[in-house]
Amino acid sequence: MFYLKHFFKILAKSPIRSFFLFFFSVLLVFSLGQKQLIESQFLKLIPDSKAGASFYALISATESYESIATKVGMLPGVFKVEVLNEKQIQEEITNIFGSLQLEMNPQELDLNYAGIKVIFNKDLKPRSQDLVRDYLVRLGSEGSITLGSVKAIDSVQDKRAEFFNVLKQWGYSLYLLIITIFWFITLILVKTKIFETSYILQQYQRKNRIALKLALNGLGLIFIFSVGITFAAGMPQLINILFAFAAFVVAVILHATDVRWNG
Amino acid sequence: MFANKSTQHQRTKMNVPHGPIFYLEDVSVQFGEIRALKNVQLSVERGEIIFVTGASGAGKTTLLRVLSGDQEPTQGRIIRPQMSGKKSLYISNVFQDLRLMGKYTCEENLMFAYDPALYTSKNEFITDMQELSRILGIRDRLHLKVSEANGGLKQKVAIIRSLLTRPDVLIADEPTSSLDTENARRLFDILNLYNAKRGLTVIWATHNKELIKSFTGRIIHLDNGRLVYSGHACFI
Ligand SMILES: Nc1ncnc2c1ncn2[C@@H]1O[C@H](COP(=O)(O)OP(=O)(O)OP(=O)(O)O)[C@@H](O)[C@H]1O
Ligand SMILES: [Mg+2]
Repeated sequence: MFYLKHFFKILAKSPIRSFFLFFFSVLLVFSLGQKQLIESQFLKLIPDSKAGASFYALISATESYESIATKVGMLPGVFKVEVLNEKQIQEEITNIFGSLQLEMNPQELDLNYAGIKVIFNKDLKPRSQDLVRDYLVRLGSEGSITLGSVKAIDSVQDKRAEFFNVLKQWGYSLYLLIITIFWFITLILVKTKIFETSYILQQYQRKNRIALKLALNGLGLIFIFSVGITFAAGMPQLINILFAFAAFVVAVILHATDVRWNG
Repeated sequence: MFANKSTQHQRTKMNVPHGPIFYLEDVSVQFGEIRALKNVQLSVERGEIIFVTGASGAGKTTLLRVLSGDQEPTQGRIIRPQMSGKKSLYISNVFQDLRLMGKYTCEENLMFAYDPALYTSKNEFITDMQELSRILGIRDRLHLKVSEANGGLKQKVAIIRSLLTRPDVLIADEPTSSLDTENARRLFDILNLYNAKRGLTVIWATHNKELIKSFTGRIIHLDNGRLVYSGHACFI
């Protein structure tokens, strides 16, 4: 009781450090114990990157572009069909005119087009892509649908996908590492306070190894509390709780060194 | 020569309960090039009150650190109360830098000395604390944070904290530098009282010449690491 009382006095005097020690202790034990839960949260965060190559299509206003978009969207191998707005269409037309080397301002033309963007599934073979394009052209009357060329998945998106893949593989470990580092930093910050009080108690009371006893009682209690919260969220992975326990044992042992005054 | 030394050692050991509690024989302390203490010979009897004087850098702090066991001599022999048999005497230090906790109030700093094993109740401790604070005139300032306290208040808190540990030996390093003579004298009255009532041994390093003048006990004077005088104040 003596040591717990003094431990909480120390925490009360340094509320910010103490709060973070508590916070990261609970988070560390919880994240270790509830590994699956945390991992599934991670997967939810990561967007599906099934989108592959894409192309644009201009559809004459005489056709019902909405039903065309729906029909194409239902084809196997098509990931998504987006209906373009006015500005995107203007840009696309400019691009098409540019590729035809026509000196013309598309805004001067009174073109009445709807546009769609067809996105293939990732890794869809060129042959299958062509089948989709042929099908799309045949959905409208002769010459009413103009297709742009197929663009491979752009590199920025590619990088993003790669990043997410890495995250999927290493995300949990990385997350755990960061939490452990933060936990350790707060631990060291609180340790200086524990040492300060221990020095005084040791100097002015007939006791010894006070830092160790303070840490044993205080950190022990925080650990038990953290384990309690972890169990409250469902049966944890016990082997990981053991790892957390080992981390706390190391934390306590750090308090076994001689205390000195450095005021 | 060896035989001589060992018989001398034998004698001091046998005398411990009634004789010297500290015994320094030819003690030197070296810090690199600097010899902070040079061949110091000293014995301190239980219940003595001793002032240690000397200019800045003379070795006062070093001598006190050797006595309290924070510093081992690089040469010579020492016997401390901790080594002297059955029940070890308890030494309390008042450090030159006081070593108070700045974030805590004066009272909270004093409470760190509350060892439940020493007092029959917390009330007894608080009564002692308030009595000492009253005599030194700081009872109404105990709520102040140490970081906001002036030098005199801090010194008094540090001394009271040490006395509240009910020590057998009090080793104090310049604890009166911020006190005027009147305050220093009041403090000294307390020490005399503890000395008479509990047999407190006091070893007190100071610059305060006024205090020494009126003092009737033993004075030890250090000069450049050498113990050059040990005796009554009036002969200085
Ligand atoms: N830890 C140390 N390392 C190196 N030199 C030291 C150390 N402690 C003391 N000294 C040197 O030893 C000498 C004696 O120092 P000491 O602190 O004992 O003097 P002092 O009489 O207490 O002085 P003051 O009145 O200023 O407190 C000084 O020259 C000091 O510089
Ligand atoms: Mg000094």
